Amino acid sequence: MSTISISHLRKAYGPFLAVDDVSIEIPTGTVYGLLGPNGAGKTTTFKCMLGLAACGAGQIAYDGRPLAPSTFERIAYVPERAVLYDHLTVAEHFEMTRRAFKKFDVKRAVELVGQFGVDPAKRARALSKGMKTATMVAIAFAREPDFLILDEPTSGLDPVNQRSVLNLIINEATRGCTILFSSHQIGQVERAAERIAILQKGRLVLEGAVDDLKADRKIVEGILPSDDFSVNGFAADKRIARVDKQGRILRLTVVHEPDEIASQLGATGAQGVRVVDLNLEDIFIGAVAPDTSNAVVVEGAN
Amino acid sequence: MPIIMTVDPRSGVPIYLQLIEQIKRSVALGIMAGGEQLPTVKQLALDLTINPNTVARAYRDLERDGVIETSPGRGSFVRGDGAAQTTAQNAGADVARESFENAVREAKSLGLGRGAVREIFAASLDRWLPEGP
Amino acid sequence: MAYVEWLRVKKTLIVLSIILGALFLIAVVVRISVNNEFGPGRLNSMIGDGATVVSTQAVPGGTRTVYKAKNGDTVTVTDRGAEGITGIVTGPTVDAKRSKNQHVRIGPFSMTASKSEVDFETNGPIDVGMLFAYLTIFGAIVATVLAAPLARENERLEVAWTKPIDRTLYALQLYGVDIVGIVAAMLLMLVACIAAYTLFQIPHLTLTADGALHALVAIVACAAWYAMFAAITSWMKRGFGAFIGIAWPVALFVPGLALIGLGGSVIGLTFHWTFQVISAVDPLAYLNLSSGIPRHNMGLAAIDEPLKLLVLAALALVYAGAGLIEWRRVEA
Repeated sequence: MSTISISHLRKAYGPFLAVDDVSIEIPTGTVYGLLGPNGAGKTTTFKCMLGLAACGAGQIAYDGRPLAPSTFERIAYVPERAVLYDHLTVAEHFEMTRRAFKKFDVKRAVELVGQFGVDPAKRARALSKGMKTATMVAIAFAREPDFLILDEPTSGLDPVNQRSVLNLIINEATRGCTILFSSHQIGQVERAAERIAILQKGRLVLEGAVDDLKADRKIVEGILPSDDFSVNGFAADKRIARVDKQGRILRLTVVHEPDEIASQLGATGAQGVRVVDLNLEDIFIGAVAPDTSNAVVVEGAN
Repeated sequence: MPIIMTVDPRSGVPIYLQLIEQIKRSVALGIMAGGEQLPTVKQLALDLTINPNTVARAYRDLERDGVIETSPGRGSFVRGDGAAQTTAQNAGADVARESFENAVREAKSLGLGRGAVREIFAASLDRWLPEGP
Repeated sequence: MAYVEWLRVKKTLIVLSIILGALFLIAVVVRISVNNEFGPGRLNSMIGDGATVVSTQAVPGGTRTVYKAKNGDTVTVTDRGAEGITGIVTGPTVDAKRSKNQHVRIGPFSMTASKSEVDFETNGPIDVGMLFAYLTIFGAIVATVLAAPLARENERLEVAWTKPIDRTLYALQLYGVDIVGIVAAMLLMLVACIAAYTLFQIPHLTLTADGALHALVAIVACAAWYAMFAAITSWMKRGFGAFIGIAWPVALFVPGLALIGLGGSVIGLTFHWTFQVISAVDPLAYLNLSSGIPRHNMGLAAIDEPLKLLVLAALALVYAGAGLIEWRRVEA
């Protein structure tokens, strides 16, 4: 068992609410993706989860118990910014980690940094940004933790190494490790994560299983029989998040039972009814910037 | 026979549905024979770089649909009693039916009548399926 | 757990050892170049021109020579080579001395003037505790090098605070490692001093209770100085180096300013007491940095050692505690 439970987390920096009443449950063995624009509160959420910042309100529980020093035996954290001791070599970082934790596989760490092309004898100050990230990732994964908290674990890495990190995440997940990670690369989250949460200005705006979100959230569009056709019925429907009407063109952003809605639209006599799939990026943008539409209305010139 | 599997995580189609569709197709076409072993959840997840629980979900659904069977400790196999192929072929027919329905609905919404649709359908048949019962 | 701090201490001690090694080599060179002065009859030239040797006799471990100086003084010198030299001066110069019963002592060198004679000794007992206490200022320099371990961690709290250890315990470990490092550095310097001394004379080491007390005060003073930096810097994420740099001149200046009384005028007294109060929290103000200053001009350095020990220990604890409290409130 290794569950993470965040309930009603709140964190303010002065008047600025960085995290506002966020609750997330992460079951054992889940790869959970945290998405959000810059400044949405992802890193702050991580810091509160790890006690690196004092949360104003709310609880964090690992397996139902609050964070204690001993919990860190089971948690590995890769921060957004690689924080290494500049004057120490990579190998000395391994030694530091070995002394600090009961469980740390030095051989595995050496093997992992080798995969990323990092020489363990090098001092941290001589590493590139990507190599620093790779070192932090190697240390975290060589600990075989129960909880992995990864803040942008692929930043600065080339696409091949990014893929390696994703495969490490997947490998840990098959071991039963509970993983929470954030990334700006939605494609990575789409691959590796089973569930996602989207943060926007400190608030949780969307949460769910990636495949369920994709199955439920579609665009249903069609051409209405007439310009003044009433769409109030659709606007009132709880399964429809957004109704866009431009003349006879109707575009519905559906969050549940899209096929049902499509049939209903067809039954009104609308023409050209179709259901458009949305990928995670569309869903993300729909959640954080609902005014951004991926359709344009082209009006004929007079 | 080994099969090539690909997923497009950036598509709007859920990944587990993509997996199910590909495995059913391989079984329906006989590329994967009865009794043939599927990759483990972990192996497939790592090979495709996708979430292991997503693979597990696809396998669960395939088992529920009678295409594969899983025995703990041994792995997952295509069902050997021929049922798998029938099921997969039926599933294939389902996919085809859905495509037809969409096409007809589209045609209707564009204002085509029964005659026009029938003509298009006949032309399609002639082109793609000129022979056979 | 405090592995990184150990590495830092180790590196500091290695650098210190290299410096001490270089200084020792210089001592060796000096010893070789003055070798002639250490031969038999090495004192002949020092007694003064025109002195004549009256008698020479062998004594256990050396020779005793009696000189008759030009001015009529009789100088009896017992030279035991590496064991040192003792001597007695009698005669008109001694008789003419106005002040009697004077005792001057600089480390192992001592001179005692009584009514009738002046005794001198080049290799008296060395109180190891006292010698250690003389190294306080150098210990304070090492303390400055190792200072601000908590502020240093502030740049990497994501690593420091995600270890399975209580933060207070972690901070105490860092403090502890550094204090051990400072004491080790002082011991290294002590050993180097004794080694360099041995090039010239075989030291007669002793340890008195008073010496031990002084040594303890020295350690606590360095600890207080170190802890003061913790109190100043623990909340800082960067720029703490500048504070550490400024602290030295300020800490040395303030006790000096406190000595200025401007003739007891109101302004003068205000000035004096303002800086006297500030000095009270300055660990360096308690250090007796020079033996030549009259006691009434030494300010806080003049207070008795047991009281000094108490005050410095209190300062160390308060500063270390303040640093710890600040640090626990830092956010990554």
